[in-house]
Amino acid sequence: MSKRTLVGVLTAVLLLGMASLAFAGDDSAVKAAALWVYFGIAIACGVGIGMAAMGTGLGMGNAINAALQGTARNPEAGGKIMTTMIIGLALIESLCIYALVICFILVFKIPDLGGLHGLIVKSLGG
Amino acid sequence: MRNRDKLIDHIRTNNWIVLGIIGALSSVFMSAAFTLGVIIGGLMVIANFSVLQHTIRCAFSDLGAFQGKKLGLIAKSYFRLAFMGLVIYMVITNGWVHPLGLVTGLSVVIFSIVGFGIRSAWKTSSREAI
Repeated sequence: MSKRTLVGVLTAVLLLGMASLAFAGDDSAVKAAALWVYFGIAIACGVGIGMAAMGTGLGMGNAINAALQGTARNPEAGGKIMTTMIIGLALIESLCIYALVICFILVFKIPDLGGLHGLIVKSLGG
Repeated sequence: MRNRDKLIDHIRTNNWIVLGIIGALSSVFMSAAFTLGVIIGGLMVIANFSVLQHTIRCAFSDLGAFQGKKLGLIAKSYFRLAFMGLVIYMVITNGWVHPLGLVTGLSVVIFSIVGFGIRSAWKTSSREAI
């Protein structure tokens, strides 16, 4: 693990620990658990959309690279290659759109803090 | 009409047919929010596909040479993606549509292309068998 990653992880853990302390009260454990859930959602969305964008970029780059090389080698087949490339790009791009939709669902469709709080209280038998 | 135009036109027609079938099925069996999601997602992705192919067609000649302005191409691309993101954000945050319906609608082009590929493979294999 590189030094920068280690510092990042430790900072995140420290911040979350401080936030848990800030919630010190009757239901501090519940609030801390809710905070961890939100932390998980934020990490999942950020990493998820980042990886999706990276994969889409790599895929599109490869497709366009191969199409242009093919066209340069055989210019007469350029039209056909371009058509196939467009279809391939549409397929690749939709994957990133799916990731975006899933991120939006995670962020905006997860119950709000109050609702989550209630759920956790219920699950702890409170 | 050239072969390549035929292929794209065929897929475009397929898109509308698939959207019609899925929309009709969801309007019968699913809720209104789900159907609205299918329709909005389908329309968005069909428009996205058309703009994508128009942009690429305008940017590259048949011989693969780049024509037009590079900045314009990049701006169009980003505008298209930003528009898609904005619309998806609005419909999800306002709760106008069912998220699964939206995902189904966004898959219309995928269904259409995969269906076309399967049909082409089937035709090829049956022709080889004869």
